[in-house]
Amino acid sequence: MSGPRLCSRCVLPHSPPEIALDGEGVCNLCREHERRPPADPRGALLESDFVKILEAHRGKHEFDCLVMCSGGKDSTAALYYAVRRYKLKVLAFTFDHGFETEDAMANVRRAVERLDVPFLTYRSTFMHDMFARIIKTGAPAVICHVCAIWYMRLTYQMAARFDAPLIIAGWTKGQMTQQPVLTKCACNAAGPEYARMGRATAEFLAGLEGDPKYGDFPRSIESVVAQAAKKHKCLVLSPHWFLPYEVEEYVALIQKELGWQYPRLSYPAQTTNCALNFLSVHWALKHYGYTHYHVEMSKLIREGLLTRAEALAALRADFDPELLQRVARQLGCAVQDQEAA
Amino acid sequence: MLEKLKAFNRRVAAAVQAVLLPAGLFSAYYLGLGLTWIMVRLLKPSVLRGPRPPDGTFWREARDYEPDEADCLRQS
Amino acid sequence: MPSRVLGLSAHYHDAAACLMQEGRLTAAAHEERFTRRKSDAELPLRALNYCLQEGGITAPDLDAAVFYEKPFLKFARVLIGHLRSFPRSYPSFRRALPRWLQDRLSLPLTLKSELGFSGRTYFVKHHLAHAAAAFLPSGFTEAAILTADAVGEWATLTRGRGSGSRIRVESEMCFPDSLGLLYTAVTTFLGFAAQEGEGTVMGLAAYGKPAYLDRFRAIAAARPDGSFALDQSYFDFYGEERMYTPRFVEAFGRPYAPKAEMDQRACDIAASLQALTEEILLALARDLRQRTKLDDLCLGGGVFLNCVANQRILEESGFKRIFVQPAAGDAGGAMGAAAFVSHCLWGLPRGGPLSPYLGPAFPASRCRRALAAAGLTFRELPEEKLCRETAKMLTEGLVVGWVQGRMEVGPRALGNRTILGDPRNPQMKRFLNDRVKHREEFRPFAPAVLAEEAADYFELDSPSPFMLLAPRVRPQKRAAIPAVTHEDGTARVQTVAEAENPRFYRLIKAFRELTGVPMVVNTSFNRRGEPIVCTPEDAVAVFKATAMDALVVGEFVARREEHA
Repeated sequence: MSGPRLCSRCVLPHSPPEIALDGEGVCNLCREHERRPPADPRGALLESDFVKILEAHRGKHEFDCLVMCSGGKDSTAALYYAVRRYKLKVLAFTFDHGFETEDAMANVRRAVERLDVPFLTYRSTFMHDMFARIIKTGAPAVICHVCAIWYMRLTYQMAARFDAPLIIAGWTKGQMTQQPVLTKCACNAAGPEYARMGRATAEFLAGLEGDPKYGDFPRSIESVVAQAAKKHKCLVLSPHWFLPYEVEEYVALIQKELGWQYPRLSYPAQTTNCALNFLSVHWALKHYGYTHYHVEMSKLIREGLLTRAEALAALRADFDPELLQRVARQLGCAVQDQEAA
Repeated sequence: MLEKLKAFNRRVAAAVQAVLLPAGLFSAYYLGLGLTWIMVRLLKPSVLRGPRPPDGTFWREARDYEPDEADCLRQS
Repeated sequence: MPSRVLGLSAHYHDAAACLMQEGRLTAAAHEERFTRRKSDAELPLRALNYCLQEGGITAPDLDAAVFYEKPFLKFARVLIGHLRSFPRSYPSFRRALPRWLQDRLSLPLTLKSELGFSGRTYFVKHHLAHAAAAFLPSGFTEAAILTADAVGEWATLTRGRGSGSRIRVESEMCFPDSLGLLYTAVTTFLGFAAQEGEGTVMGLAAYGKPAYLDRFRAIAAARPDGSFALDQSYFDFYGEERMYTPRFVEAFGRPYAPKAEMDQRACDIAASLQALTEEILLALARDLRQRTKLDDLCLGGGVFLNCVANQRILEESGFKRIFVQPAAGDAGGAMGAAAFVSHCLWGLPRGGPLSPYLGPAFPASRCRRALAAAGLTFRELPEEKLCRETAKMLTEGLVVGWVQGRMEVGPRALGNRTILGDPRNPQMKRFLNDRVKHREEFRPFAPAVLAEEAADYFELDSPSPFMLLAPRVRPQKRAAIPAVTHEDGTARVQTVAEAENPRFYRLIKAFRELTGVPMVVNTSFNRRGEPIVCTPEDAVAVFKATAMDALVVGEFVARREEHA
């Protein structure tokens, strides 16, 4: 990919001071990883750790868990495991902010039909104005980050309403937090890779103070977690953190068992993300030179779970300008609005 | 604050264990096992020697090697 | 009907787990391969997780778990043993008691807290587990059974017979009269590590003469039926530092420090110990043959990892066929305990021949990523080309790491986690010992030979798929395969049949097509003091840290010169 100089080991660009390439073209995060003593194999999470948590909650609530389903391979596999492998009483949940693709929704529908599980869809355009504001003001806030805050709050609310003590997501090891598994629900937003993005998003959200529509919108994932914990004790986990399977293995499994299919169009390649994601990625690349997908894949590369070549192929971003305009128009904007702001 | 308290408690527990454990083991051995040794030597010294198998062989008859399910559920 | 049982061994050494489903062994692995700690004795959580994943189930789906010994009986023996050697057993008591009280007497609770399993937990006597491990997968309908190890609860040796799904252990010998402990005591006397160095001592024996045999015979006081009683004035099995007493040192001379040079005295002591072991085991086997009149014999317990003794039993005991469990040690105890529950308690039918390839395999994507993450240059080849190219590398004198398919269970590499070499090369042994395995120069290497051609090279007329026999190399062939012919003219052979390991078979066949010799050097893929590799990442790490020339992982080939 053209653009900023990339680390020769991972796919993060030279972006000082947080991400800096040394004389050999290796970034400080890869060097830090190299300096760490090899991980003790006894420290790795085991499936039995996951099963213990499941058993501690099984049968005590109306549902054993709520499974977040985006129609992507990771969340579909998580749903499959929850139902068939762990035999949990599952409530499948999909949220749609108006930009979910038909391919993704078709995957979800096929999965819930074949697994015969109760299924909840929540569709809302509540966030459209916020997305539009980011575009029109030219704010370097990351659309995916504010969306994540929205959907996590929503998911916690659904878990509380339907009395599920566990939320199961399809997050991969690259999306795994460094903190104790049970206390966080997303990437380590405190990492240096996210410093500028995090600040930009936080600034944007702080600017919503007093806004009639978004005045009490949470300012961070952490506050979502803290607020949710007051109302309903709920753990968020992903089976992928505990299972040893390669992505190719579980894709083959869900293709065979659930008729899962790769979407025709998504970014990164071979994922299932919404149409708005293209716009979010477009602007993140313009502002920062990389996205949270680059961060996730860089982590997977360092752990030996992905090759750099695979990551580069997946992250190639040469979007059709007409696609971006189409998405922007749904928000009552144009792509040029960000550029002009 | 809570984390600091937990860490402090852990250190205290480790220190107490470092003192109590050797003392406990010492007592268990010299008092417990020691008194037992004296009594066994006086009353049933064969326990200290072990059973003598029949002449001509050191094989002994094997027992309890055809357990049923109830036997297998026991740890002894 | 119950059908899923998890077997486990732990706490002493060689922790392992296995899973049997519908009477069939679907997975088994040593914990050390996952934790990378040699002889890891901790509860085998990683191996347990692997077995459940391989079986497609989770812990709550199990019908039962089974442990390979009776903990309370063993604890009683430990206490009585300390009582018998009071007051000098305090150091051992101080070490042992906390470990026992921590978790060794509460396995069901531990399984619940660690695995979420709260079903039935069975406990099978240790030597019964060994007997079951030896007999039930042997394929024999009826057979005599002999087990021997250091010690279980009390028993150190048992004899009996098996018929159908019934096992009858008739007699036992008890602690402290133990062939396993004797061998281990002498192993430590010679400066090697307990539970690891016994194989080294067996190899060293070929360089000595049994000059001390009479002294050992006096210590062991063996009877004609093979039973024996060790003169305890020579041993201290509760000692803090040593398993032998000053009286032993008086009889055999100064003990050897770790890594000391092995002189002729050491070789003679090893040879004498080996000779005594063979005498006793042969006497036991002959007596058993007399008593049972059966043609088949099953051998279980760590003592039967002694392939030299096994060979003598096969040739001289009168039994026509023998079967030795590939994981004859305590890992096999887990398998035996599970087999006992499946077949003897639950009545599930016994299955087909035992395959040792019961550990994890890794998909091509994982292999590729491991090589790429290490910065190695590699190529992907279809199988036929892979075997030909690997065979060619061997003929060029290269040493090749070979990782394929499912990992073996047991202490031997049997073609899936293996370092390969050319058996014709007289320098191969020295190179492998010095630059790859980093071990003593007297350590022999073993051949993996095409099953149908084994008899051309070795005095062997039965299969040896688990490398637990040591036949003589035919004199006219010794010059052709110097790298695998031991000092005494024997070799620890693995016969490879195509049905058992197709890819390894095809590799050896490709080597034969190039050289006319139907075998390769097969040594375990690990460095000294480390467990055999498990994952592609483990293999890459050992490859990079040694002087191996090439690495073949699945269909991928990386050569050191290409990377440089």
